[in-house]
Amino acid sequence: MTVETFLGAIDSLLTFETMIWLLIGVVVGIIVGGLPGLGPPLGMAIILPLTIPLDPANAIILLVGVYSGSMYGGSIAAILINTPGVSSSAATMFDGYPMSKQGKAASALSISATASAISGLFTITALILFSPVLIQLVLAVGTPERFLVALLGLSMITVITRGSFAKGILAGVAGLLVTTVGSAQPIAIERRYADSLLLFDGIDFVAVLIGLFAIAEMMKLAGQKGGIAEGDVVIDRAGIKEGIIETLKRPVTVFKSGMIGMIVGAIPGAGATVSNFVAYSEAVRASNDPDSFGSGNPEGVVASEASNNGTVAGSLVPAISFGIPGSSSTAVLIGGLLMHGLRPGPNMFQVDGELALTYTMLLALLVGNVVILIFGLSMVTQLGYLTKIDTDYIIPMVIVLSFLGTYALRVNPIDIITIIVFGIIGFYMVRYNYSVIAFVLGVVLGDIAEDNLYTALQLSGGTYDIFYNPFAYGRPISFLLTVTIFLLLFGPFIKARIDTIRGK
Amino acid sequence: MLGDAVEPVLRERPTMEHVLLLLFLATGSYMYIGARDFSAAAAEFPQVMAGMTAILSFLILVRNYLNVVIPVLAVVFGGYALYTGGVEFLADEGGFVRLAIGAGLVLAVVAFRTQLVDVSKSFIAEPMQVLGEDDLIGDDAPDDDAENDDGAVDDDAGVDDETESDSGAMYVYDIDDPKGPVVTGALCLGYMVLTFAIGMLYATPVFVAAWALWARMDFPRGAALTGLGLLCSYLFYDVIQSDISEGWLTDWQPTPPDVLYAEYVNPLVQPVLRLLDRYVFLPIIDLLPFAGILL
Repeated sequence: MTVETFLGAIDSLLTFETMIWLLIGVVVGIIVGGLPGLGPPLGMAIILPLTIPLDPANAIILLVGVYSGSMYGGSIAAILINTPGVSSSAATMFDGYPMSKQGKAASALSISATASAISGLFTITALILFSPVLIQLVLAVGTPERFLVALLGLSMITVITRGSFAKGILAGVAGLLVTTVGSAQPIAIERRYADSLLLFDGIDFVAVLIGLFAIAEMMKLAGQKGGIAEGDVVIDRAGIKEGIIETLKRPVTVFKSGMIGMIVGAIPGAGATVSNFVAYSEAVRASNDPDSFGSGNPEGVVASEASNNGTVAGSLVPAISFGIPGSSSTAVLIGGLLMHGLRPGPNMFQVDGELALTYTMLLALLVGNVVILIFGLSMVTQLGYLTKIDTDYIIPMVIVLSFLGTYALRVNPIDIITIIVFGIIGFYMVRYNYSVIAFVLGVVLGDIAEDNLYTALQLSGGTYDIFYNPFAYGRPISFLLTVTIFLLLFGPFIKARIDTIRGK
Repeated sequence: MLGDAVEPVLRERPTMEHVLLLLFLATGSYMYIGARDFSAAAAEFPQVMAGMTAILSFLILVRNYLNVVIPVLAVVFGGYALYTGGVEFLADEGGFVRLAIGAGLVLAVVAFRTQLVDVSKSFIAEPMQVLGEDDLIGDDAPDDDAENDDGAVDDDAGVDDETESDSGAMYVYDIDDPKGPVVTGALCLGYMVLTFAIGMLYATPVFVAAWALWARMDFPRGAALTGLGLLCSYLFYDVIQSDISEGWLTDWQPTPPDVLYAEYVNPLVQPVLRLLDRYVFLPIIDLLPFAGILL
């Protein structure tokens, strides 16, 4: 049955219309990723409202195309002007830019395209092969566990996000609070604050995402100088072949970095920003010539770029399984799923549910990586133009598209207010080290968490025992999840107290 | 940035972070109280979230005064729990758990005050964020906790010695031009107001033109960008959502470009087009069969 669904997904993907949307998505993603200051979540957030006329499969394929493409696109600015188009390409700068200064820009860009594509191909293949196990795992998880997994995701983000623990939790809880405006989904009871009819349907999460990722980012970009190429970078076509060979000579680095990307990507909140540094550090550690890193060692570019595209596959696991975004980009992707009436969770893995769409999405990513390879290599000499576009042209157009897209969704004036309010809030949250990803996770998870909490409490007759008592309800997974959450949240404080007492 | 250069309030130099936290505190408190009007099932989740938002934002807001705030809060909450738990217990309606929690909190304040404050500080403290040396102004800041207190450092220099590095220490990313974000935010607000007044169709090019003016773009580029903005809004109007041409507050719908073209531009260009048809295109078409014969 699953095999039939998989074959059906291949049929769905190999239609002209779907392939065109995939191609558009990847190309738009490469462009968005290549423009300094823009990145996958922003590109996806702007595209999101434009997917309304599309059917769900094509809409999601367009979004994953943008996601995948922008992961590669981010390396362009990193290599050519020492400014990462996306934070996930930050480690690419260390060796990519020195290569560029040595006249090997084409080689570095070619390494980036090849490593990104190969890593993306095998991590997505691994995910598809692993999917039957994943399906069993997701379907075995019940309602109380899904609520606890949502809490676990939030807890992990607050722990992983650097900085104040209280700020991380505040960001997540504030995000959850946003979703309590409007009708209570699970029980269909309206919750109106101040008798406002405009808020009857609640605060639209797409508007929140666009505010946080587009408006906040544009405000930030408006305050930053630089990021535009000052002179012409020489991109010699002869370096393309050299770049491909350099990548193929390092299969272990590609494989290892891709796997690091995949594993780190599956951890909520970590994302490609973390994985590309981890992979780069591992490449330095494992190298016979660690001193050469930072001065144009191709292995550094291979490691960084292979890992960030590997992250895409990893981040999809918690996203489609439990609705927990591994990164900001997957938060927007979940937003896209919800906008098109698809709820992440068991339904995405059931044959009579959306399993076909899940497989189509994974296969689209597979093909998307081939597009990255072909497009990336054939356009190497032209990619430098992206780094010459002044942010003064980008900022107003991104804001315009954000306003138009958001307003066109529901024609509700509250959405315009929402993007501005959350744009300003997002700008200051990032500025003062409040985790935006935790906030987004709260917004995305709110309905899912409340729905599962309500159902779980109905099962238990209103007592919270169901979450922590392994004997009363025969749910050991709930108990284990509760213990894990407790240890994640309070473990560091307990350890600190124990160390203090021992020290005394 | 806005607020970083203002005078100290309660011995702290207000920043936009304080505004952000006050916003969270006010919103959390308002939604907690507002949720009381909902049914019990609909109120539970929002009240828990609103309560946590209010408490956490309050704790971060007063992070430099936890020495005093935490014991006071613990005594207040403990006392309240003891009172309500005691009343329930005496009326044989349970309340034991609440009594125990209340007693625990009061005991913690009396017997383990230092530890309680230390744990609270480590919960709020942030290794990456430093308030800056003169964000806490005065000479009675807690010296013993200096390392662990969000950088709330005793400031012997006082206000006069403020350096530029103070607020810069806490920024997560660099801002080269502080005016940029403020102007962008203000222009977005203007765009919103104009959208509500005349609709997004024409508010869009006005916003783009205003941005081009602020960015000091030369005229041809600014005009081209404004034209691109109008094209975007027109495409949305024509293809996706025609309602964007109406002002929500005024119900006013300025004449859309296609109607303007049909009413005013088309009558003007029609005679020219007819002349072109008669003396340019039709003679060329007439010549085509002749050309075909020649070929």
